[in-house]
Amino acid sequence: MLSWLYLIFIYPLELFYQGLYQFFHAFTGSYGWGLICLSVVSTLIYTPLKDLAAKIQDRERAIQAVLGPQLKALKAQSQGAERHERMKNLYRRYAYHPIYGLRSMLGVMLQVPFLIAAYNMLASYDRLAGQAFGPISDLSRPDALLLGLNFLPILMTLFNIGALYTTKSFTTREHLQGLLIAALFLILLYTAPAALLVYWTANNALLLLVNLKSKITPRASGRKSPRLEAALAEFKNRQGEI
Amino acid sequence: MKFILHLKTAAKKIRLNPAKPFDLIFGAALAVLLFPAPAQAYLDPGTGNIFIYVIGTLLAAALYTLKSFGYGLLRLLRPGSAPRANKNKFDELVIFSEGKAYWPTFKPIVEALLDRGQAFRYLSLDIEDPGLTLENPLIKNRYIGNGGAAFAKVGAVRARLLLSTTPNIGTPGYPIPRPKHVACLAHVCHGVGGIDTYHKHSVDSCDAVILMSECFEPAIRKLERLRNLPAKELPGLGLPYFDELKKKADKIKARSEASAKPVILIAPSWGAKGCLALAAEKLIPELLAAGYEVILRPHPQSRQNEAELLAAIDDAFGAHDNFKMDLAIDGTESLSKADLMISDKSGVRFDFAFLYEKPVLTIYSPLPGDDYEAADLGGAWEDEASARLGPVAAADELADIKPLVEQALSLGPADMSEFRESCLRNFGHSGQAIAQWLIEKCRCLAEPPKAAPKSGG
Repeated sequence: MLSWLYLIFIYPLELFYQGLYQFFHAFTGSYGWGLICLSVVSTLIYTPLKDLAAKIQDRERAIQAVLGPQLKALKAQSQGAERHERMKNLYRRYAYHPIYGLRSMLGVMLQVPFLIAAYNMLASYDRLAGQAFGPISDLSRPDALLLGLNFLPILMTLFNIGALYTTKSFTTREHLQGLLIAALFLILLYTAPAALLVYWTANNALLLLVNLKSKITPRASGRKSPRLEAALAEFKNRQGEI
Repeated sequence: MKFILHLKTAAKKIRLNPAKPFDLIFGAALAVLLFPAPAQAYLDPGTGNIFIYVIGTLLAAALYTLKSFGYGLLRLLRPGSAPRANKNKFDELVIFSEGKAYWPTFKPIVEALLDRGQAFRYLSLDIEDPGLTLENPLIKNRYIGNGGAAFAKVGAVRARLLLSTTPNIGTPGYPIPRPKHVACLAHVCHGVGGIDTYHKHSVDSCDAVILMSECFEPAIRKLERLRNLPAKELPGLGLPYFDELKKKADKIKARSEASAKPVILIAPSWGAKGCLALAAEKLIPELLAAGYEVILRPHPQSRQNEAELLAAIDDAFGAHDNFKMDLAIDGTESLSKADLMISDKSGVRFDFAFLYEKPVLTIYSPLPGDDYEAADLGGAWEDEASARLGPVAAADELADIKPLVEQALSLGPADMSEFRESCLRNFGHSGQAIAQWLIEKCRCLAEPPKAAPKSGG
């Protein structure tokens, strides 16, 4: 079953990524810069999917914000069959079922094939053996840039945390979860090939840039006419004289 | 096992949502174990969070389904279990609400219906509608979503009577069609005035319009003649949203103290048609210079769309002893303290005059364009009504504000209460009157139509 799913959803994307990477390598003449270009294109492809996932999550969060306090109250007030009956009625009123929480998974389901395809392709790309990129001597092996320690996993984690704390509308719980997951993947990917980490770090850096850009863009907040500005300034001056 | 208990205790201390079955550490580890490939393909913080959420959701859903099955089985097996409720009782009356903004209109009606033992359905487009939180066997309240699918559900409603504040149901081009299986479509007004400020043809498809009072009947009859429409039922039963506001106003009036100087409350609408900029440019400085106490209560929308202007006003006047900007969600405090309101077209003028029996100085602006019923009626009731509340002046006529304020302040509570009684019925108990009308109307619609008498000879 899994191999069929792989053949239908993942393998075509792997071939696509491989073709894209080979194109970028030919274009830039460098496997390292090819990774950066691949990361940019990947981000452009799944940013709309990510936005869709965020909208679905926001909707789910809104529902939970309404249901949560009511669930808490009825759990405090009732038990057993009565509690369950009230919970059923509550879900019925809002046309909700606990399984609907999986709607938040839809965005991920759209992204996961891209993620797995990129990972599989880079992890098995044998042309990376012996290829250098800047201070990294071999993209197919861990970087060992920090006096024998691998620097890229740490850099990836820092960008990860930056992206986490600049993502809109994340709650404290989601921040804690994100930190834990960042720590887990630091461990998981610590000995991964440098190529994977360059790609992943570039992805997170782009995400961080996108988040920072949305925070910096100013919002329109009403116009002041010159006549109004003069009137306000005059009043302030008169107050100053008094 | 002890380690997991310690982890769970630690997780509780970080104040996790008790509805989630897994603490975050245990859940994250499970995420890695169960999803190794996607876990290693993890891209960003959002993706990782989703996997933990999915595990929790699947388990919660499974538990819920098992419990539903289990309790259902127990109920069947228990001797003398309660019979199923009669579902038909909900087919008589349906209330349709666009959202929480209209709850002040529906709340008194809903409460009165429940007091009278009348079953009904309550359908809402807004998940935050307080009407959806009610638990009562007489009310079948449902969130129906929003958008095209929800509008279609409204159009497919089957009932004897459908009550709504939404104008334009059934108007060509409007997304909500007139429900074919509703015998009586009733519109209840949710603001002071008649339908002259509604867009044209807003209530043409309605069978009944619940008005503030019978004063507003001639306008609708005129439109029926003009457009060759069947006569609607037009009960003058008041405005239910005043029921709650009156209770609040009565409580706060009992507590409030008189101020040494007259207090002027400026309550503009938002946007280009509102008088916020005029307030900043002219009204506030002149009123403060004249020695009045001034409260500015901007429209909630201004806080987003006119934030810069509000900041400039705060910067210019904020330090003045007699100036205050009221940004509280509930404006009852400011409304009760003020002796006079200055406003534009905002409906809050009538709230102020009717609830607190105090005058209003209106900054006049005509209704834009010919899109409103007022164009076919030859004028809006509001234009005459403004003059009953106090002085009316166009923005460019405000050469000297003080005489207008003095003129307004000379009007007393008797003037306001007389005007209110002339145009508003059931002040403070409109919800009960409307509920009674709905019940009687449903009863009437349930009776078979009387056969026409046979002619003799």
